[in-house]
Amino acid sequence: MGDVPQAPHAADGGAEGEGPPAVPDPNPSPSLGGCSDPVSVELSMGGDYYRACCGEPDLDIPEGPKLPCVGDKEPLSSLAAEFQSGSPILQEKIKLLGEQYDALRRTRGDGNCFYRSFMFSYLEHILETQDKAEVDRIMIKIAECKKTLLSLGYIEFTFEDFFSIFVDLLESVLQGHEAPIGPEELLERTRDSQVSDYVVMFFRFVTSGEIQRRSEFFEPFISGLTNSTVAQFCKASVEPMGEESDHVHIIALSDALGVPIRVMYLDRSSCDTGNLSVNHHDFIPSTNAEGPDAATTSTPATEKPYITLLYRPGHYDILYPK
Amino acid sequence: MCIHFKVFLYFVQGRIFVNHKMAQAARLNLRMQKEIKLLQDDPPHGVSLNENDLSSLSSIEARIEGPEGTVYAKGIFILKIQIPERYPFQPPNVTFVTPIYHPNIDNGGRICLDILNLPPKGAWQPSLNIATVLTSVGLLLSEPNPDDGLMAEISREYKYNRQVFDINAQLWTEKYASPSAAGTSGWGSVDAGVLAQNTQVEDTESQGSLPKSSTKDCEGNKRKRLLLGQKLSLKSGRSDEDMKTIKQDPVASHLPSMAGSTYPTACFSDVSGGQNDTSEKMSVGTASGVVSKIEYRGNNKNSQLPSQGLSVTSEAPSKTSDGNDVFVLPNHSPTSASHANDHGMQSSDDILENSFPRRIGGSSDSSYKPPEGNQRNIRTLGLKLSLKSVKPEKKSDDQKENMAPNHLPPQPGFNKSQKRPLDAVSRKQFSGGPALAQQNPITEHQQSNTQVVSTEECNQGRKKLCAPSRRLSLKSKQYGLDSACDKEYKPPNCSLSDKLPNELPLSAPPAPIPKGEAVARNELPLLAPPAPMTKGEAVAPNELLLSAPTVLKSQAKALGFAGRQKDANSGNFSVKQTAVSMENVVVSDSEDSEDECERPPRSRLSLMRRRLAGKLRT
Repeated sequence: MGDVPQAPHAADGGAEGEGPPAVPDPNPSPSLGGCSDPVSVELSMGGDYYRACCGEPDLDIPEGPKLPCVGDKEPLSSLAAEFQSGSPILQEKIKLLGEQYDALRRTRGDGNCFYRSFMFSYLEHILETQDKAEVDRIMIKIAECKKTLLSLGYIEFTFEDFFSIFVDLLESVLQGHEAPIGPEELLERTRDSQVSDYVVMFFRFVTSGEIQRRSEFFEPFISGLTNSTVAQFCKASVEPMGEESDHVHIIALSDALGVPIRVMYLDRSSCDTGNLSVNHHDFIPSTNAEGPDAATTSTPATEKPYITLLYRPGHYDILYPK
Repeated sequence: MCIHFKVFLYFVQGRIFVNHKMAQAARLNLRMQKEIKLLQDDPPHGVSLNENDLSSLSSIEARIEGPEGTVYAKGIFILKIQIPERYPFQPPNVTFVTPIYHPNIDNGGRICLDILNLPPKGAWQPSLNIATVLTSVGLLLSEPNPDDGLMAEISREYKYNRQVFDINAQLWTEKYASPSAAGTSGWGSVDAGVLAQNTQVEDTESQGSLPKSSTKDCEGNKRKRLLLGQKLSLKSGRSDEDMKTIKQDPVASHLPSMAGSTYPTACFSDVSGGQNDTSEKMSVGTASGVVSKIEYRGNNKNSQLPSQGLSVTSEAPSKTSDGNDVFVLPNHSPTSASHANDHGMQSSDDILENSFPRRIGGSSDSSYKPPEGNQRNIRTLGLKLSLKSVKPEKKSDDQKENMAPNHLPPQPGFNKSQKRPLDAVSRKQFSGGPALAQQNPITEHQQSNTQVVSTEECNQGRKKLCAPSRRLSLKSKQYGLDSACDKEYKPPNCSLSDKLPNELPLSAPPAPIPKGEAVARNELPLLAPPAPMTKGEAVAPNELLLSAPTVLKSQAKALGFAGRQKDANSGNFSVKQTAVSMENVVVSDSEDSEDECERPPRSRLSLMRRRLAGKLRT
């Protein structure tokens, strides 16, 4: 599945992450090379989402307040329209994307977009699949994360609220729960900045804890990205709200929660061969978190990423496969 | 509170997520309980929670001890911590309730600390908590960050004149943060100087013109004056104990002085050479203070009204014990408000008023300082005087300017240079002065003006008497400031005690002045309060003469003229005489400030007086 030809190390900050002219990229982040591979992730549309025009797409990150934390589902054609006058490479790539994906959901471009995208995509997945086993599994992972943070010296009350909010949400999307919520309410709640931010912080804590727990593994990535230590990196680039996520963050979150993530890279990179393809990278959590590199090792196909994110330099949105 | 209210609102609105919002509020409350428990069980070093007031989880009070080995050592500072509804996504609002002299803490107690603000400016993040914040605040006390100072003057002082900063900070700590005083004083009692500074800073930002002009013209002078003022304040601080009649906080006195000097730090740099030993400074101050004290007491005997009245008025508005500080504040606030809109008469009046308290503070400092009188102090004073005397003219201008800076802060709207207000006042009062001093014909104008004022005052009666005295004091203060620097001012006092004979001979040429003084004295019984001021002024010029011969000459001339005028006037109305004398003195000052002759001083002066009188009454 996710063959990852030349996954560039996280350190090469956005070497190929050139934004299209229409997409100014203040914060280039690393992107991964790879040939597009049809992915069949079945994500049925959970309900009828009204299609309100969100106005101008947030090509740029600071669009924040205008967009809801999590937008409505839109057809991929809206993305194509967005780049109508943009780079031909991007237009071509969007066409290619259209072969596998038919919709996207935008998230607020406030630096937390990766976490919000992940949050909604994951919860929606649980809501759709009612995969109780997955919930049980991730609960265990969450408990481990909590222990990790405690062992790192975090005071429990500084993070427990964030954990509990996510757990509440997770439980509420399972129909067995006493107060199950539907897709609309899920959307509503994840748009509530209170809830949404709490969950974002939950992910940030999880990410930070994971990076620090495996600081030896992450240290080379981080020292390549910044001049800081792992702890400094976590304090400065992971835990604060609004700090954008990079390769390192995604690896850590995916590993910590054991959730595979696919990221489609919509950038202007092109292969010399002339065969244009949409690069993607699958973040497959390593079963053994202590493993050498969870990021670049493809694990068995059983770990199909059911979360697919569309990456444009500086921003993540949710992609829905056909 | 806010949280509960919000919850209630959500109920009323029947929103879908009522439960959720409630859960949020409950969650925050729960978290706060845990935060508080942590602060109780395992607080950061030097931090303790106010156990008495834990009723509200959204607003708690903590005490932080000044770190040992710092200027804040042994101080206990009260911090107010307000928890926003969106905490921990928003940082807690932490402010110093206890006044503290710190480059990164403004006169409202607000703290310039990165983790207290959200990114991108700040560095707050939801993973932090109150304990970490308090720890950071403690570190900030140990290591101020003058490069990112909230208080420009204090920052400069910290960077370039650390000794002075240390003294000031310790004074504040003793005054406001001593365990016994903890919680009794708030920023309201401090404001005069600090406010002035802050406002100045703000003004500079918003109105580049003010600070620039003043700074350009007389930074050096201001600095010197500032230094002087600080010295004075220091002196006064020590003398506080001695001074029974007058309640002055060292800090309070300090503040006015600070306020007077736009650039305190700069001033210090000038003085620093001489100031190496604070004790010396102090002693000097005391020495000068002795004389002044004596005079002051004499005045008090004659008329305690001025000093007491002042303190009373000041205290009334702001509860604080510090007469000076309090006094200044009320003036400032109103002025600031009104000034923004009106620049004209009101502004000038306001300025006068503002200057008044300040001046009073300044004068009180000099005059009140207890007589610990050391001869060497006197010597030092003489040295200082000589220094000043070297460039008396500039000083006089500077002084005026200094006065102005004080005024300026209160008046944001007053765009013109800080000097302006003071100058305006001084000019107004004195504008006629210079000409008069040199030429008698002009005197008539002054007389007429003064007479008007005096008559008005007379009509008013006792209250009025108080007012004139106050006015006089203002004038005298101005005079002292303008004609003689604080230092100079002090020396006169000294001269009274020790050097009077010497000075007197010197002063002999300016004999008219003594006359004027005499007149003033005569009248003083009536106007008791003003008398001390006048004396101080009169003395000051003499001393000035002593210290700087050239200056003496010029002043002497001016004085002489003034005295003549006074004499003539005195024959008519005693009150008028006093007023005239005052003005004459002013006139002498005015000589120095030639540039400031432009404005119509009288009308404003009269207005000022009226206002002052009104205020005094109230």
